Amino acid sequence: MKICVIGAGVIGMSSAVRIQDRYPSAAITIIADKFSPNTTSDGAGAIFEVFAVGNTPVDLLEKWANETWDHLKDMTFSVEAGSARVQQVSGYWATDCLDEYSQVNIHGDVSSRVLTKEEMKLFPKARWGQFFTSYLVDCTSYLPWLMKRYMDRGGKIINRTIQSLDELYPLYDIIIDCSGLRSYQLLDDKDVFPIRGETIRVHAPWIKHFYSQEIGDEVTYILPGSKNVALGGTYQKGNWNKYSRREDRLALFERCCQILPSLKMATIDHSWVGLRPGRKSVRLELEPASQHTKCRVIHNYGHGGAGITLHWGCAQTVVDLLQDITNSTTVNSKL
Amino acid sequence: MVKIAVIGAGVVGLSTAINIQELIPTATVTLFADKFEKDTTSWGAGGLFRPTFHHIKGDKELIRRWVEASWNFYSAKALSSESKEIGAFVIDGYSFSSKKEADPLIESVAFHVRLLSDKEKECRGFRYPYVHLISTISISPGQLLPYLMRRFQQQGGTSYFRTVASLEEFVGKFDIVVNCTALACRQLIGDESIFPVRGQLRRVRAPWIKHWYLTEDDTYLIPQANGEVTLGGCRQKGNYHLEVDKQFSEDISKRCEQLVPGVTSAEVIFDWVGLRPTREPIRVEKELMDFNGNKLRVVHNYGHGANGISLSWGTAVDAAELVKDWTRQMSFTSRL
Repeated sequence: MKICVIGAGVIGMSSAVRIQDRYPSAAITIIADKFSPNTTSDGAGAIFEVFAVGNTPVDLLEKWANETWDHLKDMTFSVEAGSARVQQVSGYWATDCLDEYSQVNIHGDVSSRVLTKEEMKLFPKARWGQFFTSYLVDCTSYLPWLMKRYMDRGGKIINRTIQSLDELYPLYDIIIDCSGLRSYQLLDDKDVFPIRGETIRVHAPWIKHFYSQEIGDEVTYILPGSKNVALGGTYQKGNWNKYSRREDRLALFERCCQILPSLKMATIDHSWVGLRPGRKSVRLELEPASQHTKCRVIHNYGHGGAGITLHWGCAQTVVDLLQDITNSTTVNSKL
Repeated sequence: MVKIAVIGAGVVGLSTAINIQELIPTATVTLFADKFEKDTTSWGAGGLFRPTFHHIKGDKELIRRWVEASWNFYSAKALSSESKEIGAFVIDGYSFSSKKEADPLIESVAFHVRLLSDKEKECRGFRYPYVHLISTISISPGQLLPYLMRRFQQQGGTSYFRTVASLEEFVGKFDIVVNCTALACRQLIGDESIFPVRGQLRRVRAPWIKHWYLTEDDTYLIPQANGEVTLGGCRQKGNYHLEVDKQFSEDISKRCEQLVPGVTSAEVIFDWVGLRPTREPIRVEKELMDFNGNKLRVVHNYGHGANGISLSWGTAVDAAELVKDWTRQMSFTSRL
């Protein structure tokens, strides 16, 4: 059975690896136009944080997030933490929004508590906040770590831009479509939209906590990665501009320095723009069988800013759907 | 114009010199030492601000006052734009204990102290009876010591390389001598109550570790301001050996990796040994020394043991006050 995974961001890589976990002798090829460090995932903070993703049902979000949480926990407390750069980080989250749904807190072991009065002084515009412990993933190391695992077990890759799934139907039995924002062109999915994220990476190793502030629509974050600190951010829906904008950079830097004055002394490493693959909801489903082709397609895209938070759980659902295909008697397969 | 000599350029000597400059702006303060920066015992300190009554012997109110003064000074720096320059930063971490209550000394100053639930312990793989998650600060000597020296010099202080054989050398040359020579006090002034507590540690490259860890058997991981992590350690009372014990450094790695598997195979940057200059109690007091009829006004500030960083500023404030006392006595006498 020949499997093709489209996309090599965190969604594509984790899907490919989890398929291998379940079907060690599967013949998988990842086809992507971008690999780490040039994917959208590479520029992500990326902190595990559960929030609403469009209309995606909350119970699905919780299922995927829970599974990802356990995976990140296992990674952090394993000897792989240094290679994969998955880290446990504690930090501060504050908001002016009193609606509890704005923070979907699902874990007993997130270890959260309310911010003290002293700590709230960091966020003068906020009305309440939490201190909690979460996981932060450096995708510039995590994706290569996944890739190594994938290739060590015989996985293949092709660097190519696909114009249409028609190109792949004759060559593969199953396609796992993790095309992210590209699905807009590739599948003509008009429910997909970019959520533009401007970020600056600075050298500030004395910062050991994350700081996350939501005032109205304005999001400010400081995420201490293992190589540098990510400052952000913007959340501009429908904005396709991949180039850094001076006014966005200045504004977010200013907001971050208000929280942590010592950032004024940090040296700037680089600035970066990522277009989060937003959608009305996450599309994770098996396309109904087509009369025109024997190839089956599983879609796994539209995670918006929650790629890291959901990836491992979504990859498991991909494997479950793949299982459904192989169980069906109409497919004469040898995985 | 009062001439003051401070002997010792560790964190205690430098902090004391600065406090004297700021309390007595008309004084000239000169620093003498035969170890500076990288050669001092302070240099290898983890820098974590987590003092306990368990490890600091002496008058509890006095110790509490010193801790509070040090905390007020350093926590303000940690939250300011000077955080990078001084190496002072906020950091959370895990304290592993056989006791349910956290030590009252750290509890009195820390930003927050919380006992972990069984579930929280379990999912981190912690197998200790009690684990506290403590929000505190850390001040890395790699940034702190150069900062203190710069501040001392910018305020008009000068420093000289000198091995002092006897305080008598200062008679007639300086009005007041401040003794921050720590372990050297044994020979210098004959104080046999100061003793070394040997510590060995490894510095590794592990910038993905963002919490500190400290156990009761002296296994610890303390992240530094530059992203490196200090792994330790030991407390060997009365041990003067300054050489690195290679087998022991492997043992340090093994213990730390058991506690925090994520630090496995982190690149080792260096191994280091320091002799914590311990005295019970810490000595901060005036003494009028007599050398064959020649008097010397002295202020002692030494014996901080494992808590040089946590106590240095508080004791330096007190020591500077004692120096000021001397100057008042001097001006009184000179008017007689």
